[in-house]
Amino acid sequence: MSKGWVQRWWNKVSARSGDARSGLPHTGTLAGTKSQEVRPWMDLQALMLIRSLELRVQRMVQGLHRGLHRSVRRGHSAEFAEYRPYSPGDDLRHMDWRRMARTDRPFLRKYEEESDWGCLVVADLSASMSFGTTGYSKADYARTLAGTLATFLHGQGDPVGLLRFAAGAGELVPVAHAPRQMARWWSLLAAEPSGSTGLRVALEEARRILRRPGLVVLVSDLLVPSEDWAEALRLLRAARHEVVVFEVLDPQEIDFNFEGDTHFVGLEDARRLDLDAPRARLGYVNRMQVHREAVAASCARESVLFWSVRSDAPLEPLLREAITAIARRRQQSGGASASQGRLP
Amino acid sequence: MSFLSPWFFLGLLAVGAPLVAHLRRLSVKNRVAFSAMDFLEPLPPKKARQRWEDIALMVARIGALGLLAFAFARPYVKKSGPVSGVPASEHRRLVVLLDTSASMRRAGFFSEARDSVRQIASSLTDSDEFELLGFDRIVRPVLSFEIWRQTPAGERSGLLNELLARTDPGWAQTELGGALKFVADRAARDAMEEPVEVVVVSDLQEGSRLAKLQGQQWPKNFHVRVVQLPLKSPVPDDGISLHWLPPDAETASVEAPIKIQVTAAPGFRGDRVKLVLDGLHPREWMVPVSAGKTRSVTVPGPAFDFGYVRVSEASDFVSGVWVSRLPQKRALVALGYTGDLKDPSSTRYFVHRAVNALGEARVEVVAGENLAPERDADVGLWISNAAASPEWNLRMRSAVEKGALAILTLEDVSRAGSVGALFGEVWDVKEAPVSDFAILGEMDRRHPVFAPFKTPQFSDFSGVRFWHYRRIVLPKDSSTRVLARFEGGDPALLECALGKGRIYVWTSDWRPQDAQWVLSSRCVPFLAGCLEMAAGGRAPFLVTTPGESFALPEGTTGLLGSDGMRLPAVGPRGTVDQPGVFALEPSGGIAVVNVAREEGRLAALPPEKLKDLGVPIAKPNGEGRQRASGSPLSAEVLLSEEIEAQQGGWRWLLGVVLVLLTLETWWAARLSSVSKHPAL
Repeated sequence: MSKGWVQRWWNKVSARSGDARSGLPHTGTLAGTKSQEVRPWMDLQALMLIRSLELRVQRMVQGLHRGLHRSVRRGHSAEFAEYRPYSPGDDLRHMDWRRMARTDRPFLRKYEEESDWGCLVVADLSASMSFGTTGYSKADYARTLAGTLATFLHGQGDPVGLLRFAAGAGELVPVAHAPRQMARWWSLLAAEPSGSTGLRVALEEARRILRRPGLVVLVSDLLVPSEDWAEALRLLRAARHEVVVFEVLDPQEIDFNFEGDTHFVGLEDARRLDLDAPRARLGYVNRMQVHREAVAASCARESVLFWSVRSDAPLEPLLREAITAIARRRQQSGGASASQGRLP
Repeated sequence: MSFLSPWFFLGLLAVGAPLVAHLRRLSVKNRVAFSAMDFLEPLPPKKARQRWEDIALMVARIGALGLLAFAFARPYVKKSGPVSGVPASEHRRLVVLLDTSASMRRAGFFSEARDSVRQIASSLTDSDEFELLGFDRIVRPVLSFEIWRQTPAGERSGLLNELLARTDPGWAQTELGGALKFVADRAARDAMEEPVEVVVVSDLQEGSRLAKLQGQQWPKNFHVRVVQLPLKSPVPDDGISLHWLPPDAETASVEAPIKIQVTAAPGFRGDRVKLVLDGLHPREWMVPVSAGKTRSVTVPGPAFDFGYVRVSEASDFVSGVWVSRLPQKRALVALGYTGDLKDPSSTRYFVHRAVNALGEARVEVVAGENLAPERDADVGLWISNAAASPEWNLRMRSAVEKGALAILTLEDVSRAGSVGALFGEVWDVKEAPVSDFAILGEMDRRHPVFAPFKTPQFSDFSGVRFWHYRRIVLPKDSSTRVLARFEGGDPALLECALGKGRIYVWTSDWRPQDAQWVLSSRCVPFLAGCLEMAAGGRAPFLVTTPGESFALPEGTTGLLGSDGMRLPAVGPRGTVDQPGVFALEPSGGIAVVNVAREEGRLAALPPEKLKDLGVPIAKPNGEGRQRASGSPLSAEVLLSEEIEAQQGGWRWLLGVVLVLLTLETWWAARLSSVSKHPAL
């Protein structure tokens, strides 16, 4: 009897402590595990209070630059951008000796960066993403995550596109590095979540859009069976795309700490269910655990960078870790920019 | 069954909460728009047993809340009989100790005390026994058991009212410990089997003396209850109390200033207070004070004999104090020197001035030629030289034999022999050979004439030079005592007993050409010491409190108060019941009577202090007083409170509630565990 009591207690502790300790396999590092190393730029709740997605993303990018001491991208393109006064420690190779001879003051030359490694962010804005018990929805969290990552990549010179999907193939901001690229992003991401999750179709569409090997970033709650979209993921990888998956879940979707008799209404369909939540909790948690393990296993099988994220976890450590991991993958896959290694 | 606080039944409204919660649980559900519906599965419906368990839980919660409200209403079963945890018996034996100390003189206190006593007495039945004792320093019977028994039941109330009306608080200190000890010892001595209830009706101020309760053995069936006044509301401790610092009657000078301690209560608001001296020399002055601090101040202005110092515009007894200077006797000094009073070369000139330096208030100096024979008996001190006339010597000797003192100085050898003859002795007297000067080398400092020189500050006589003196060789069997000697060993001052009195003989004259003595600062104190001896010491000076017994000086016939009231002295000890300054007749001494300082500590003493001292307290009335706030407690309410406290039903009910809630918690946890883990 005591063993059963201990087991129940352990189950409860495991469930409450989140998936980081629940034994889920994953290829990347789960969000929040390194959150104590660098103090977040901004409190998540405070960040989410900013209504404008663009402003919110700008704040996040500031934080990211603060944490990352040097760019993951190196080298310069042939397109001259501007001069910058020399500071001790700067690379002397980039100094403009001619201007120094003219002005007797040292200057560095700066160049526009160029990249042909296209990045497509596949953002899930199905109705299930509107769920949220943390004061904001999963969709808000996913928008911020995707927008920040895209802004960062865009700032590095990468062409960044967006595929917003729900039930169908979704809407697209083409992969490009245009000055107004991000403005289109904000417009597309502003849509309210609706419809069911057509993940398989979205991944197939992404494969079709990205003709050359690039980066596919999937931000979704992945609340559909992994069998439905595992083949599409495999095909993406077969097309030599690097894939990054962020599984965004609300804490209640993981812990299921509802009280008393509860009337559940499906967000993506018309299903209704009356349940005694405490009684239903164990079965739900077990089924959710099995599902998430299956998702993680699918991602691991395809060597996909995978992060399972609670929507109350700080974004900044997650993004910093993801950017570093993406850069590493990029170097391994030879997807560095054409300008790398070139000197003006 | 009755209830002490029936309004707590309003708490029964709370039993609706579990009921509403239960009904809401049955009908209304939380609505959640959920994203992961694929992971939810329908549950089997609750079994009938679970429903019943839910209902049983609801009933347990309702029961717990209902019992809680019931307990807070403080139920009790009405019954006639004793109160305060006193075992039941056929009739009660109730002793009421009524505080009549000075602190009860505060406005409204004693009338409230009378009401409390009446209320207590009204709860008695005809067969109950009742005794009313007043106490301050001592215990006084107001209404004894005997008179209570003898009085018809219908007339007891009237008798009590009459006796209470005749009882007033005095000025004495509160000796609560002694009063309780008296009642307890009497109960133990009488070996009463019946329980004794003692009700103390008092303000229970902080200055109440409780020392006698230490180690007190309390008899069985002895119970004490305290009715602490005021019942209506606490009295703020924000006054000024005065305390006189009397001078030391033995060592202090009669000119010593009068000092007063001014104490400001912690609640005092202000930074200064105006003091007023009432009496023959009235005056007013301001004294800076701080809340909670004590400072000593000296009464300013010219000297006065006695008076009443009080805080201006304050009527409380602690805000006034009687003060007095040390009394002084006026002695008659007869000077037998001849010669011109204005001639600086004569001894009379200097001695007259030295004696007058003692002050007109203390001495009356009479020249020998002016001294009428009928006043011989009044003369305390005779001072002359050996050259006085035989008639003078005869009168002096006669007076000394009756108790007077005399000082003789030897101005030459020729007359010295006659001095020894006064005592029936033959002295060998010669002129001492003094090469330069002589000084006093040895003296009996314990002798009263040298009492003023006890302290080292005044004990140095090396500066007093003697150029001429007479060497006296006393016979071996002489009864004459040498009080001081010169450095060479020759006697300087002799003491000769004669009848009841004494004669002091200086072997030198006091003329400046013979010695510096009369010019030195030692001469006047020496004369003062002699005067005190002549008067039989200092005038008595007594400092006491009302009701405190003190030893009367021998021969005292009465005490004359400053208000003209005369108290006859009976026996060797006396007692004064009220504050004031009293002259002791006929010695001229003074007795100053002030309310004891402890009585001025008016802050309320917690009744628990008595419990700490082992007093078998049945129930302090602290709770009742707070609840009453504004209206005096009726006897019925007091009785109900006591019965309820005695039965303590609420404690049992709270116990049941705790058990019920424990069971409910355990049961609910079990049900919750089963519902969360149905597979287990």
